[in-house]
Amino acid sequence: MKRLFVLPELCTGCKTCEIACAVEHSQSKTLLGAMLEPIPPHTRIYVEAVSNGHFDTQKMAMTCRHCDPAPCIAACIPQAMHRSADDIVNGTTIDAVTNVGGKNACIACGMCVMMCPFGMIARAAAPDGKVMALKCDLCPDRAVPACVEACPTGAIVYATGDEFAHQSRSRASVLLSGAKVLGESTLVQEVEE
Amino acid sequence: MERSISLDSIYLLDKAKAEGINTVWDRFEAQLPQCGFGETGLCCRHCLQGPCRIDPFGVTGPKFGICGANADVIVARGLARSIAGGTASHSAHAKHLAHTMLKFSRGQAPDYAIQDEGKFFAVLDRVGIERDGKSTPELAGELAQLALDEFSEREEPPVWLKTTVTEGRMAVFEKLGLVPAGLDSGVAEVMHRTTNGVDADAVNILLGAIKCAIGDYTGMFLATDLSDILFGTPKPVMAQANLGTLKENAVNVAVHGHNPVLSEVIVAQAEILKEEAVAAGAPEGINLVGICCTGLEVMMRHGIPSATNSLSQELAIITGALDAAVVDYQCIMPSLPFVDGYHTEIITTMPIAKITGATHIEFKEEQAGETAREILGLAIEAFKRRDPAKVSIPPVVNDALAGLSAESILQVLALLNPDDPLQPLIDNIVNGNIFGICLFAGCNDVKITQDKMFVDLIKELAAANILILCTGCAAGSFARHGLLTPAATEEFAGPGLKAVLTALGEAAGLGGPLPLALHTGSCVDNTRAASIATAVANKLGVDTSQLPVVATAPEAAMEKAVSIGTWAVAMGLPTHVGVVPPVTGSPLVVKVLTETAKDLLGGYFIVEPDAKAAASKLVEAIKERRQGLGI
Repeated sequence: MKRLFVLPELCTGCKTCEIACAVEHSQSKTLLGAMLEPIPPHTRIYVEAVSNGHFDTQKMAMTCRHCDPAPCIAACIPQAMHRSADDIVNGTTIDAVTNVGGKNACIACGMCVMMCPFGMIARAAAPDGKVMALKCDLCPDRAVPACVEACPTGAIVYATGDEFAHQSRSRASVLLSGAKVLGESTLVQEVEE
Repeated sequence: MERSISLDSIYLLDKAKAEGINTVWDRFEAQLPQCGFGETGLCCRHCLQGPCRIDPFGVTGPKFGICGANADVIVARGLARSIAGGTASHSAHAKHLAHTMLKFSRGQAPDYAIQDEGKFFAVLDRVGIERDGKSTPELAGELAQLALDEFSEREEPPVWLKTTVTEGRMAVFEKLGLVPAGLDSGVAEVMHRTTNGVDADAVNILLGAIKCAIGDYTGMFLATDLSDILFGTPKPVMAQANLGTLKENAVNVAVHGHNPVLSEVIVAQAEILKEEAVAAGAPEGINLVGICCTGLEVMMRHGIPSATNSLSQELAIITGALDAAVVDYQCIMPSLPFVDGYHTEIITTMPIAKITGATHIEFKEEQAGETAREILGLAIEAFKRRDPAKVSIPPVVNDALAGLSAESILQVLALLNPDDPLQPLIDNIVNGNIFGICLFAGCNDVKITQDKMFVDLIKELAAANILILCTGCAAGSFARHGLLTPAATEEFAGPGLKAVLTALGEAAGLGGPLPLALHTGSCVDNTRAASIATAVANKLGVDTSQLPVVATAPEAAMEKAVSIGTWAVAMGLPTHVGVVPPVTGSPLVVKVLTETAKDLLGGYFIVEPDAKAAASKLVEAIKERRQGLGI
């Protein structure tokens, strides 16, 4: 199953992913339309920074890891939070932890917010005004999640664990073999492949 | 990261935190992480087809904007526009003074006068206005008109440029095409050439930006001249600093912003309204303090305390004791009227600088005194609303010697050699007692600990026997840390520097050395330091680019600091910046600013966030110049 992976070295902290995510989870799905909606849409991806307030700030987009087993599912009393696994539009298989379409409706108790080790669940108003647990659903209406498409530097990768691990391996192997002459950034090489 | 090392700031940041009040530091944290495209200068919004962004890593993202501009062009255009912003600000300040002088000359500004006739005549002679047989108002009118003409386009180079730099500098500027046709035209030209489809050669854009910045220098020189003529050239004056200068038993009024046009009149009226303040329950009357550069203007002319700098302006309100802040323009936070739970009356005065939530009392030179009284009346009313339970003034006050204009530095030097005041300075530079001169300028920047770089760097440089001049927020910062005192010289100056400052201080009757840093004015007054460098260069028959003189803006924040830094480079000075400007997206632009500029102009930028490393780079730059001069 494809997941979101982030390459922190490519994250500029521009927060374009946050805006794209919020827009995708609005009713109109357009920036202008979303800004005019009575309930402002909520992002489900968060750009965080570990900063000394100066020049070596490390930035990283953080999103749901869709853990398995997922602490949020285990903690959900009404069993709203669940794992979906349905073949849907565009041929994309979505295997996302979500609380939309669960056994019962979310009661906004916040248990999942407490349990998520990554802080990736917000207790906030959905576009219909109902307060509930909002989190990444891997954009079920899209072939590629909105954040991935929006990222200007390609810092968010939508891939299976194997694919991503392979990319990391090949990057590391270049570094370890000392083949730095191939380019100033090993990432350049990888992309050119 | 610590927010500040200034004790009064720390005291009030604790109070703010306890009361749950957000300040600039909290707003900065809320912005983190900041967008990397903006940080590197790789975002362009100069046309409606944008915004465009260049991928700083060059991996998968775009290498060109929609129009075809590459990273170099986009970064250069952005930098040029920020220099134009800085230049426009100083130029507006200068024009304001010229208009005031023009109104005075027509008898329309009764609260103003020519307060320094000596400087008035000196400037008239310098700019070539014939004095014989003309009345003071006539001469003032001619001077003001000539000043205003500097801003439009002429065939001749700006008068305040060609009469204040060395011949060598002027020749370099002419050769490189860096002489602006007029000061406003320099700004307009940058706006033109950086709009879509005009200048698309990064180096050429940077040259245009430097031309604009040379206009900035010219306007600033003019502004300082006119301020001195209208309000008096600063003379050494003992004053105080820090937020501890606010008084519990007085109506506390801060003048804040940059232009002395209004604050000078407020100073004059405050004494007149003292009884009203006393009657309102403030036995100590009206206590005027300064924030930012308006504060420094009245500090160096009247010894008014400098309460704090622009970065910590909100903290003055959080003392609970500030009854009114009268603001003009530049570096005034839009947040001031919204510091929750405090009574401070924020009074805007300029038609071009209103703030939602503030009280606006429009200032006109024609009714200056009347307006100042109205403003002070509002402050007295606000005092009556002060909540004593909320008052907590940090017990931090430092002495500060201010008012060391170029003229007063020369007067002090003349005590050692009345016939040739510059000679003692030159002798001590040659013999190494003074290893070099460094001008500290620029702002505080919320991205780094307030004042830390200023204080760390001055200690390093003073220990290396480098004579320190300071302006603007640098001067305010040193004042807050007790570094504008003889005691600081005793503690931190290297032996050669200490000997020189002691000889000068004793000759001046201070009974001790001059302060560790010489407070040469507000941030618009940086040309005071430049004029000393030019005088020394002329006397030695060299160019300013050969002198062992450097500049630094360790905590730069504003566009004005960018334009000042750029003209400092144009004057030939190695110029250090402690905060990385948004140019790193273009290796070419970085190279031009830090290397190529040296070949073209003699001056260049040194970007170094570490104080010790910055100090050693500045010392190296001075050493190179000393070697060049054979000393």
